[in-house]
Amino acid sequence: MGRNPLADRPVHVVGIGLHRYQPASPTPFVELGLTAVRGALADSGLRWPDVEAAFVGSALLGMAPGRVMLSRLGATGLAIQQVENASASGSTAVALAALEVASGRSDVVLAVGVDKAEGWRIAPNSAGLGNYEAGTVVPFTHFALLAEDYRQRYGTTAEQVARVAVKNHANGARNPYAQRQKVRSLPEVLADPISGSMTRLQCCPVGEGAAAVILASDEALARFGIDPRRAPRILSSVTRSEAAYPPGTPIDATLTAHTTKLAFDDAGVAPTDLDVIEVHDAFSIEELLYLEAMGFCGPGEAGPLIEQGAFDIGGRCAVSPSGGLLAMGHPLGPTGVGQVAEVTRQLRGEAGDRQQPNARLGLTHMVGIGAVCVVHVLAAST
Amino acid sequence: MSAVLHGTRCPACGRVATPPEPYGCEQCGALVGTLEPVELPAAGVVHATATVHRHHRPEPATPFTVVEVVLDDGPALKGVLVAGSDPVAIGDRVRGELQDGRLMLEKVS
Ligand SMILES: [Zn+2]
Repeated sequence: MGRNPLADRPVHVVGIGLHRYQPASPTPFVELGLTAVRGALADSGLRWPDVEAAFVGSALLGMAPGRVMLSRLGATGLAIQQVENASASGSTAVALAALEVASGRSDVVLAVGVDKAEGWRIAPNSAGLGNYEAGTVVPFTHFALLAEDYRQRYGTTAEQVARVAVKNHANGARNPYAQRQKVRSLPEVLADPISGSMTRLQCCPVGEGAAAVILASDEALARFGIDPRRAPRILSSVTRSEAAYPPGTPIDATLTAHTTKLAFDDAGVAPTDLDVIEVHDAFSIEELLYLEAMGFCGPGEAGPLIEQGAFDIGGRCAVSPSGGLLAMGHPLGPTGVGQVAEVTRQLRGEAGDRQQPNARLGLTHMVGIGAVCVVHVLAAST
Repeated sequence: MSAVLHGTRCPACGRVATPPEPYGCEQCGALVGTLEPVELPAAGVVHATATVHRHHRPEPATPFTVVEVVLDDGPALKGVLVAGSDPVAIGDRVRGELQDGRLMLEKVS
């Protein structure tokens, strides 16, 4: 990889907005998306005509959702680009928006994720590549297999893995934008098996919603009089895809390790410096796998650490304080943008009763079918 | 019960794929025409298992057990434990055969 463009021209998050994640409803995607964008504009103090370019992340809406949605804020003629990158669509929209600012082409750029859980078309399924599964292995079984392998390797208990969901449901209960807003006990989380040790509440809900962030340059902060204390900086943005790993390699964790390493190097920070992490916890086991892959703790250490409360709000590092994919939800396009919104809220010190004390450094992480991985490192303004 | 799975081996890098690779080597990009056909015994060691309680299709009937196996010849595959097989655990040897395109596995006792 070449030089980090975000090191040359700083990029800040100056506005965040969301539409609550929710089960499928008749609400048109335009309504979902506009709610989030209007929220982000109000939060930033900017006006819509100040926005020079928009990147729209969605995986299921089909062709051309961006202009029809954004034109109802007033059709200014700004640049609009559609971004599809599976579960990482929203994260990739943020990555491209950050590059747009870092390149100097624009000073104020919108990244918005919006989606509705309908009309699934997954290209790898029609790629002409066979397997011997005949439809028996869906994502929850993929991760149930990883969970059994992990637990056997390190002696981690099913209860320790389930603690991820207990924590994230408790966080989601304090997030008005979360799809699941209910505190759940360990016995509740352990009930209702789906596949292996993965139970219903250890699998994320896929619904609909929207999330928006507005990114801006130093020049824009000065020009529009934006309070720098409310404008955390994106230190690094890295996207990678699965390489040809040896058979039996845990793909998602290995890809995560490679991607986060590059993002930490670009940002000049170490994993143990992090105060807040929004991780791709579509299934509870993933949070443990990825915290270890990121180097936040050693192999097999995440289970005991979560039991000790190290990843709670107020613990060593708050992991998925939004509720994560498990409780806030995973409406695909919005998810990665919503992670950046949550970390921004935390780094501003505006997260209310789910605030991680003294949060200075944060990370967002998404994995998408492919597999692809997108990681951002953000820092509070000094 | 035992079967042979058809696959390809890349002479340039050694990567083994099954089912046969139709486009080009995933590891080094060698053209598909250079890949050599190989036959891989459907036998290996259990890497992980998961008993599935909810399934979006009527077939196979739940509960059924998905088994990830690392074949003796390299590739890792997922199949389904045949009804009536002894239960399997990580490290057990299994063998399998294809039934309607699905790898059905049983424990080797
Ligand atoms: Zn090759």
